[in-house]
Amino acid sequence: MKLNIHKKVLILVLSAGLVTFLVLGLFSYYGRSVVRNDMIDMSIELGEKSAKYADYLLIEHLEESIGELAEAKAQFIDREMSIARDDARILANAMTHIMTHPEDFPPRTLSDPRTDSVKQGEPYWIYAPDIRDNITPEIKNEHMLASNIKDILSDLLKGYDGYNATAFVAGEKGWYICARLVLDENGNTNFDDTISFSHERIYEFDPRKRPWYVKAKAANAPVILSELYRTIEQTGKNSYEQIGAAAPFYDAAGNLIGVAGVDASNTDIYDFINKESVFNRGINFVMNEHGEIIFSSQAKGILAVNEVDDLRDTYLSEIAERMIKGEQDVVPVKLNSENYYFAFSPMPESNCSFGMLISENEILTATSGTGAYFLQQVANMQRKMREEHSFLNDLALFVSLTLMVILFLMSTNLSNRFVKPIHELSDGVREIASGNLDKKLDIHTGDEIEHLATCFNVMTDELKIYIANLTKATAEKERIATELNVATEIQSGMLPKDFPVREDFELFATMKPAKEVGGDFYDFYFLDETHLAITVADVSGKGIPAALFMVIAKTVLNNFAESFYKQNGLAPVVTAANEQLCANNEAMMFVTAFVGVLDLQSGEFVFVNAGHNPPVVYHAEENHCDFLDVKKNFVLGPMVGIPFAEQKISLKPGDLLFLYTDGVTEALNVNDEEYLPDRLIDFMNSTDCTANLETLLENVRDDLSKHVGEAEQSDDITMFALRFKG
Amino acid sequence: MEIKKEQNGSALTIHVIGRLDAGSAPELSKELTTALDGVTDLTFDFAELKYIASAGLRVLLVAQKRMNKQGSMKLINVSEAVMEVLDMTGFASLMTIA
Repeated sequence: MKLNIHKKVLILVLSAGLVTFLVLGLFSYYGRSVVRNDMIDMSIELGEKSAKYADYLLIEHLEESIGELAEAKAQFIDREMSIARDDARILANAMTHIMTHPEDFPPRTLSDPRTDSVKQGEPYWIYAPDIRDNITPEIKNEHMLASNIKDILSDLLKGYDGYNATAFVAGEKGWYICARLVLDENGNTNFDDTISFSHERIYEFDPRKRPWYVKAKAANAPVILSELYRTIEQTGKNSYEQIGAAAPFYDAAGNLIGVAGVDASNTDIYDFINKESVFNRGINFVMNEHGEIIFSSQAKGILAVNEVDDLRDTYLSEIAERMIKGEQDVVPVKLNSENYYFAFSPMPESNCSFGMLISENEILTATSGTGAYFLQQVANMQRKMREEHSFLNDLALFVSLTLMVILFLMSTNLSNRFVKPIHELSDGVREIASGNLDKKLDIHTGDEIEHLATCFNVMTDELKIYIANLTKATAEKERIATELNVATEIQSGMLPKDFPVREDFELFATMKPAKEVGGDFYDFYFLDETHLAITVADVSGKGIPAALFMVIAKTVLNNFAESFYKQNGLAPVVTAANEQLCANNEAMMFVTAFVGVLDLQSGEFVFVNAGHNPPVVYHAEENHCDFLDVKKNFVLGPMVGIPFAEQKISLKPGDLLFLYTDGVTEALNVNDEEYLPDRLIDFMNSTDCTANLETLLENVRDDLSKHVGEAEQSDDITMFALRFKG
Repeated sequence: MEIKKEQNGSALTIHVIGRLDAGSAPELSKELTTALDGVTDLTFDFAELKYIASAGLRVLLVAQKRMNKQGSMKLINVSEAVMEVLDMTGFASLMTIA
């Protein structure tokens, strides 16, 4: 796939950006995942720890609360009980004072409910049934004296507003003074109302048989009637449970006169004991100083009333001892195979102790909610964290996509900016390439491209100079080539082309120059009417020097042949020509030459071979060719004063001389193999030597061409044929 | 063409390898103009010379002419083909061929 630089830069920048994004993104994702997981782990741990700690704290707090609650309950019950007891004691003290100071008090009479109507809180008097019909003056007097208590009774009873209550004084002798508050249907106390009495209360009521009287008399001390006892009425609206306190009073001698007391339908204490609990399943009880349970929410079991004589005799003895000592604490206990928190608090006024048991399960149930709450909070937090993590991921994705778009735009821009000077460069280079070498690239990017542009400018300048030089050199070369062509033409023009058509001989020659101007030449001319001079020569080397030397050689040979031959023969001609050529031949140019003169009448052929290739002679009689046996004289030109041997053969009509230069025998084929004299002589023997000379030379040339093939001609090829016809 | 020279004091042996023709002759000619300074005994070893053209002969001629003045020159190991040319051109009778 081939991409241009624009796309390559784009891909490079984009891929670099993407890889960076990817790496950062993965790191960020990994980091956030790690943080999230850590946070979740931590939050789980934190939640669990918090829940446990909260449970612990709550239990601590509950224990504390239980203790405080027990204390509060103890104080309340203690107060309620002590109020009743104090009231009983106040009444007893007042009665003692009245009965021991009869002189201070006048005899009084009170309403008799049998005959009189009695208002709320109004004291009344009755007698026990057994004495009612036999009231002695002593009883009557004591009763009337005792009646001085009436105001105290009324006042004291006002404190029991809102209850069915009774404040009373009873004599050992059977009299009874009482003030009552009876609630109406709405539970209110209306002090203007008269009280309706039941039959039992008026006619069957014997105070000395009532529980409060019995207990106070037996205790010989103020008592609290902690057990609920029913009013004298067993049924009906006046029948209700009540508690009370009673205290005995005595005469100066210490003999029992009677018992004073209060009772009320105030069941607050019971409610307190039974209902006012933080938990559903709790046990509340009050134990007196003797270890007896006097109040309890339990109907059975060791904590129920009257079940055990002394709690200290049970397995709760240790706690019972502490309660009696007036201690306060919360301790765990096991009751009926269930774990409880046992809170106890003293009731100092009543010499009792309040105990409260709360099931551990209750507390754990309550606290488990706290733990669950914490765990729920943690779960919420985890969910939020997951949401936030997810949000962060979405955000990261969005930001990444946005950045990628920006990156893409920036990459495109960058790529364009990067490629633009390259385009300018290529446009400029194209213009230069189209020939405008004056074009200057004007790029100032300050980078490698500017450097490249500068290099291009330098190259253009150098190219201009080079082209100028080349143009000059080419012109020079062309001039020389032209001159050489002219030289070649001149040389060629110097070779005679008009071959005489005669009866006595036939002559034809060709000279095919090689590429450069060479040094081959041939010549023929008549020395007189019957003598034909011929020359085939080869100047050493090539080029202008060879051509010049050739011209000299040709001229010199011609001149000397024409002027010397008749008197002196051919050898002196060659010798003289050699002398002439040697003069000033510092370059040691030389020429190989075959010079001959044919007597057209006799067929005698005189020749001198100055270092030239031996010609082929065709003997017409034998129809056979062989090389002319030539003497090996030295070449012409370099050496002065050397002798040249002249030879002579006799040609018969039809005989033929074939002269050539080494361009024939040394012609090379593509394998650098020479044509060689042997092949020449073989060919001459195989071809028709009687043929027209032009044809003959053409045949030789064809054979030569077969040998040479595609190879380039390396030397001038000169062929010269002379046939003597006689 | 390739030229190898062996100088031994004032004796110089030149091995001419390949074809000594019009194209390569100037190279040998140029080589000789400096190589012959102070040489008294010049030997051309033509053992590997395949061909000699007239231009090559001219170089030999120039060398011969110079060596005539400062010492002697000879050709050795001349092959048949080269000998033929030397013979034909009369160079064989002019030069010392061993």
